Amino acid sequence: MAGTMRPAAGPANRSTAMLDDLLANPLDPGYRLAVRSAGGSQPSRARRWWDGPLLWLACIAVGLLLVVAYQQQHRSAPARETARKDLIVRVERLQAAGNSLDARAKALAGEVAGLRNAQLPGNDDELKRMELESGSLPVTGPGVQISLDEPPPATSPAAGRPGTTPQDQVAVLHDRDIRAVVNQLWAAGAEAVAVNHLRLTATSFIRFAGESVLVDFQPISAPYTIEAIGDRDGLLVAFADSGIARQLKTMAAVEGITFRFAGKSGLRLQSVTVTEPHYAGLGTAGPGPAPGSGGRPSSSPSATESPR
Amino acid sequence: MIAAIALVIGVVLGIVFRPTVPLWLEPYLPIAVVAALDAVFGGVRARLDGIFVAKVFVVSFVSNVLVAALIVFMGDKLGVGGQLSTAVVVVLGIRIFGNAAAIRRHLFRA
Repeated sequence: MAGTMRPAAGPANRSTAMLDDLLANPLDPGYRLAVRSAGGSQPSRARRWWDGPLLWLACIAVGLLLVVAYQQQHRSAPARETARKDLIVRVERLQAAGNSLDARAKALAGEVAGLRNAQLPGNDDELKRMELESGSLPVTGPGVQISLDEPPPATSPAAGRPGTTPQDQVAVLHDRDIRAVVNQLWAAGAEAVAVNHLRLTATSFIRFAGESVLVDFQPISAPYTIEAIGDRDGLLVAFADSGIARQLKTMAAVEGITFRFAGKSGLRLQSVTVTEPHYAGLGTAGPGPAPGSGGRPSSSPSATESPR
Repeated sequence: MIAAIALVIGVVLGIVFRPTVPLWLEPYLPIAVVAALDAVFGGVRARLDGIFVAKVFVVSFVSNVLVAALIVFMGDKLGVGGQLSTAVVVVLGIRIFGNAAAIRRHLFRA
């Protein structure tokens, strides 16, 4: 249509003419110009002495360029991979170091407890009870076990780029679900609670970061197992009757999560190294007495029952 | 024929010496490759048309690569990012397709 309207090579039509020219005549105009300036004769007549070497050089440069670009594209990928592996190794090493330090802290705490028991006269039931409640002693006993799991992934995994997650595949279960279950168990009279074998203490928290749930800064992932030790039947009845159990049952029906709870007779929850709580003081003394060293925190279990 | 041999020599040189590209040059490489391909296809077509001139080929190759790099550089500096290089790829792609079609017509008469 532009061709019918074009009178001559008017300056107004220059811009569209350029596009037309691009589509209709992809050859570099230099070739035709060179032929025309040579007077229509064979272009090989007009050859100069530098044409040969120049052509060689240009072709070598083209080949070099192609290969270098190819290699560059495929070399940067391994570099990224090695950086990722290096990071993974470092994370694993630091985790191992943290675990060994934790084990050492536990061993030292056990030593301290042994020495203290040797020094204390007579009955230390009160101390034992408080150590159990604070989570610094491993406990065994009857209780309930609650299992939560994400719904199975969709049968046809969407063909996306690696690292991208479609919106419908992100986690259904959040920190608030696990937190609600834990709080319900505390409220029902649980004496010790653990999430994925991480014992909860008075200062524990359950949060959400990225796409994983954090329990005391340790990321855990589905399936989630929440174990609570206490009066088994009482816990079961209170939990089954609670709002969070109904809510999770609804989620199981609608979203397809796995939700089971059952009473267990021989649960075992491990201990954790209890960090020293900080108390508000008058500003003259240092930090308040630690619960393990004879001080009496006035309300250690109730702190966990309040929603965090 | 000479050109093909030289091309192979260039490829072999690249494989043997494995030159490392400095980091600041890396973003220009892909677009330079497209520009070089355009020059090569244009040269092959001109050859088949019987109007190949070495000087035009060399000058078009060098200037294509330089202009493409300049456009990428300008796009970076102006903050339009990859969009100017998209323009380069579109224009050169059209030319490559056109020339490839002409070459095909020459070779297969179709």
